[in-house]
Amino acid sequence: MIAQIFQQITSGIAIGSIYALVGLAFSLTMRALNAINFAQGDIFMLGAYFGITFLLFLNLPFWLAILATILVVSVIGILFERIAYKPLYRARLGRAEHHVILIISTIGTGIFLQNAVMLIWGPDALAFPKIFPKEPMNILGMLLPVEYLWVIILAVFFMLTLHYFFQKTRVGKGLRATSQDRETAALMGVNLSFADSLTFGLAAAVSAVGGILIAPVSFATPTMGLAYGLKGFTAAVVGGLGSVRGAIVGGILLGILENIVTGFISSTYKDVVAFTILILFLLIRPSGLLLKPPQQKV
Amino acid sequence: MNIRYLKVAFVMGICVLLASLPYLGVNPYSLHIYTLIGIYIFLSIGLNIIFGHTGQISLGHAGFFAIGAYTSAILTAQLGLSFPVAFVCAGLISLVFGLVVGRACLKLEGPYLAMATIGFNEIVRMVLIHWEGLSGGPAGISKIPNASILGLTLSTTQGKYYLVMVLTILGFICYRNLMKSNYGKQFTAIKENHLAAQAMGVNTTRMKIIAFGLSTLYAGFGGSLYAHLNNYVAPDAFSFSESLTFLLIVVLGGMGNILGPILGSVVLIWVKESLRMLKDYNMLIYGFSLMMLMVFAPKGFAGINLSFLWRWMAGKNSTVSKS
Repeated sequence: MIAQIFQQITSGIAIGSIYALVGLAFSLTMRALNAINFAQGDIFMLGAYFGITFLLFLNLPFWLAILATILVVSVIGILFERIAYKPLYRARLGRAEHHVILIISTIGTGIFLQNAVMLIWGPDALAFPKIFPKEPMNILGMLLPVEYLWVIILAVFFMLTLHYFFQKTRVGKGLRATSQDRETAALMGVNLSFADSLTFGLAAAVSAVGGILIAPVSFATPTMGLAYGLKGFTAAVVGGLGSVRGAIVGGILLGILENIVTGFISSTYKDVVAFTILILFLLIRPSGLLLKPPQQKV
Repeated sequence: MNIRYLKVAFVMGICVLLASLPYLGVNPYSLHIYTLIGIYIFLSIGLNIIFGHTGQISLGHAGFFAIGAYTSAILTAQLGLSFPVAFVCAGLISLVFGLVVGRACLKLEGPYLAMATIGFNEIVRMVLIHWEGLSGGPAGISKIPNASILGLTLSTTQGKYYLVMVLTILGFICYRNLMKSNYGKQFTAIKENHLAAQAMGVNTTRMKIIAFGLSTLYAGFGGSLYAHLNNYVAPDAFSFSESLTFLLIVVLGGMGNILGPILGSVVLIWVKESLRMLKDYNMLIYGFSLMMLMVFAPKGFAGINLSFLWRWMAGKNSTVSKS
């Protein structure tokens, strides 16, 4: 029994760290531009497909495949920002229905990406090649799935890299300044246009990492984006949308909870559980666990 | 000639055209598409009430559409009730769900509301897929009997066309009058400025919930018609992309434009049917054009002012009544 709980929690943390990565992507654009990219899940899906392509069809080693995927997908993310987001950002200021335009534009992009993937790679589910060793490790009589451990280690590594980038590098500090106050940051010499593109590029890169790390857990299908996008968003909302730490905490909590429900109650309703949590959190505590509730401004 | 009479004549003309359409040599497939347009008008009227007029986005209307369709399907195919009863029940049950969801979700705004309603849509779809005892699982419910009213069974494409057209016109008239009434003005006040509306004495929470309820009522009616049009319902037809279609119709037709649902449905269904020729590239181009549409023409047809049409038809020297 304890061994089973232990296993469920480990795999919960693994899948949760993937949700956390997608949630991070939502939080990045939310914090910097107050924008939600509804195509984030589909960018995650692109990460999975490019990962498979580099690993399986080009036979690259794993570390190179991850780097190549990050590069390609972040370029796509930046292109996306230039084509579908930037023209709207300028047009939308001061309009009541601006968010609707943005929602439709980003969903349209999502549909485009899904169908482009379907045309290029085919509509069937693609399996990842074996990346991590499958044999479970035996610690004190409890079986520890090593592949899940690898997912957690890599996810943490990329999160720490992101943290280092934001805290220590010049560009990262510029981005943080931009998200606090755009005008002042511009006066201090931050190139806002570059900062916006970089934000979208980073968000795409983070979700692409999530897309590759899904390897031991699931197949890649062109329509996987919606479910993972919603769960990543749930993770971000649970922790506090716009907070980096929040996305990580929220993702891991969601992953553990989902796995416990799957393991002990029923696997058919595991998605329902995640979406119910999303709605409940939006209703009861929309600022999430880690952020303070905002004051209502008139 | 007075503009008012011209408008009446114009509307009568359209009604006559719609009534005679099956006799003008239209093939059954086109007639089926026209019927479908009628159903989409029903649904987009619903969404226009909450989103176009009241300004609260919903991306979960396919969920209410599904609730209406399945209610009607279960009542007629499994419990053997008649169509009018099932039709009314479909609307009412959707309304009940709408009031509950609206009560809970309308505290949220903008993208948050959009995400919450997408979540609702997915929950409904998951329940329909997994609760096989109620909904027949992924295969859905087939052999839904044809609609029959007063002993008249509407089994042909023509019969269904007339049923949907008559109900759509009735639904549209109710909607138009409602939006011209005090309620409609309160809805618009909420959309234009929430706080100002509150200051003027509009009970915004109550009005938003009423608007949401009305919109889900329309969605439920649309669902019932859909079930009896196809004689078959399955969870796949009620996915999130369907909610997006309704939203698009409203945006295309112009948010808060009373004629918007009609214009938008005709154009969008026509475009979708034309794109069907492109087979695999169909959805690719669809997605791309959505993106481009929002970049280049974010207002849809809302910018087009129809009053010039009436003025032109009335002749140059006529007086233009502003009412």
